[in-house]
Amino acid sequence: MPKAKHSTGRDRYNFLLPFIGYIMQNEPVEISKAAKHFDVEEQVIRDAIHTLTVTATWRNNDYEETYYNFHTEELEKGIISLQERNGIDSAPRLSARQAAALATGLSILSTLPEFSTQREIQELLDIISKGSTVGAPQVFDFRPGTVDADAAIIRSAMLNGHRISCEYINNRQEHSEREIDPIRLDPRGDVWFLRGYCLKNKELRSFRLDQMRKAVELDVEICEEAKAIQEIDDADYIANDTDVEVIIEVDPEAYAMLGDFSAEILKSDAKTNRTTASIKVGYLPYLGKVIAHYGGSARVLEPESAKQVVREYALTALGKSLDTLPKDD
Amino acid sequence: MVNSGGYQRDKSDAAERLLNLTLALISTTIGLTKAELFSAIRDYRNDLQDGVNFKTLEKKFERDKNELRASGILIETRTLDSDMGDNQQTRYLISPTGFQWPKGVELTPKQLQLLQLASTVWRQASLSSEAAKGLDRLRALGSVSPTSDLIGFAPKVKTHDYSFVPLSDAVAERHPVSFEYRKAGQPKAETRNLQPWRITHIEGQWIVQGWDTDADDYRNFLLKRIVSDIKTSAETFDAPTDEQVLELQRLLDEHIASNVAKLRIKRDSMAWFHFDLPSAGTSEDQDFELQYMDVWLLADELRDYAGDITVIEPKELDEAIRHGFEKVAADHA
Repeated sequence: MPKAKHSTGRDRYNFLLPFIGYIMQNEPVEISKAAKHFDVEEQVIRDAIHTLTVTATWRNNDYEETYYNFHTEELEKGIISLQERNGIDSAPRLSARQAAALATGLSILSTLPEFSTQREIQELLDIISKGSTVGAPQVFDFRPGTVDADAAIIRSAMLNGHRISCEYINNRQEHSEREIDPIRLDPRGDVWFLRGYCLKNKELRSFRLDQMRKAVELDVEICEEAKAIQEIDDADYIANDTDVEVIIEVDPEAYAMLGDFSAEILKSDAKTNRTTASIKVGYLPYLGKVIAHYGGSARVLEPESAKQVVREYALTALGKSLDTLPKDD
Repeated sequence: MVNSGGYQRDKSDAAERLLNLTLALISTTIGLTKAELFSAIRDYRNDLQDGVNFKTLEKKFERDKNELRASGILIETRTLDSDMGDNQQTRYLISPTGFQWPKGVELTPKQLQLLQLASTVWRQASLSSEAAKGLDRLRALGSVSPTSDLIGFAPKVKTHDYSFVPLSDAVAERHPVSFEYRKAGQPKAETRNLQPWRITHIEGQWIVQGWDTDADDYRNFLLKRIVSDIKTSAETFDAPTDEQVLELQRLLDEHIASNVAKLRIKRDSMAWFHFDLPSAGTSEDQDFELQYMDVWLLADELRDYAGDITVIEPKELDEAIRHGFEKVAADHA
């Protein structure tokens, strides 16, 4: 979706600099084409042109000198065409942070089998390195995790806009055959998550790839409902009306849980960095496993039913029955 | 182009002021003093005319310089021999070669498409915004737009850890850091002092790698176990050599290869799926070996599959799993 506006002065400034570089290379150019190129609404381009037109410097306390002048009649026809120029004519180099953020993005892509052999990625890394203000400090290193055979099949299906079928075991330990129209595939920790339109439930669902096997790309186009899903919330868990609200307390070691459940932060202790938050849980028994994962860094405060689920999960795992439960005094 | 000052003043537009400052500083060869800038840049000039005092304006200029620096625009300072000793005579300028892209780089639609994809991997808001700004700068180098944008194809990488951004800045700018680190299974955190060299995503975890100045040795720290804010020193350390970085990676790889766990996995269970064991063959449970980086992290992972897995070795893994369950049971009693 094209960006409708830049929210801060810094963001607008950061857009203006490369925009100037683009105009210098490409004018005369249609406003619509420039908007498409930068993935912004046409109004963003018009605002940028306005700012370029009015930016001016006083010379000798005498007169103001503008830097860029556009042909007004061409602008009215939707065409950017320079009459005079006086300022910079190229895009700026990348800041260290911008270079690091993009270079890492490229390294992550190169860990995917589809991109691993592409020389374009190496070429781009070289370009970024040359075009950064500080050379290329390598800040991040992304090592590929477990290679899941199903992930490659799903990515191929996504590229082709195809449906997949697979065998799935859900959090209730039920096995089933599924057909899914894949939309997005993300790593979380060492596990890949697929967000897709589930043909069985007729809605957007999240699937763990480590609970999936025998994925097959079908020669079937994804359905209209799946195509209509443009943007997906970044949370891995999609909340439902029937969910139970659970209050948890987490230490820094378990902060990941806050993001995974789109938690609402209730309070944070600045000294211990311990955070209390509210999360929504669809299937309560699943919570036992989630809390136990953090081995004591995450706790359920309420409701009692949720605490009990967690306690039972831990005690069952320890091979203790519930009547040997230590009494809380 | 001459304009006699007839433009309606927009109410202090930050983007326009920053652009004006950039253009003024890049088009001077000897630099401009503060006083010259305050009379040349329309927004500053208007402030002066509105009666804003010089000190306040100096603060605004400092903030603007920081904004430019944060955007990767390097401002140089110069003092002319004739002005020596007078800091009001410090001259500011932006060198065109430091500012501009090296000539002759043009990106193809295919390269732009890859960059677009690469810019979407960050879920962390500030990194995602840096990547988007960088993408715009690179877009200026391509005239033909990519035809498709492959929405959803690039994985999104999560960084929950509050220490992620301060640490990545410290790596980029080579500042030593200190933080409180709580080792797994230990109640108390300890202060660690580190020259951070690299932030690495490995086995689903973010770690910061570098030189521990207390231990005088290479060290790796899991970001999730950093329990304090990051204190960044104003000092800088020398960049590690390529050999040092390789050595650091080699030591970590060696460490991982030396940790092997042996598990027995219940047939067709969730753990069976998780470890992607084959569906054909015998109907019996299966033994499975894997390498790991940290016994407590592996214990966290395996606690998800209680009942599906028996640990054959090592003993510490079994203990770490049990320890976690006992703590959880006690916490929820």
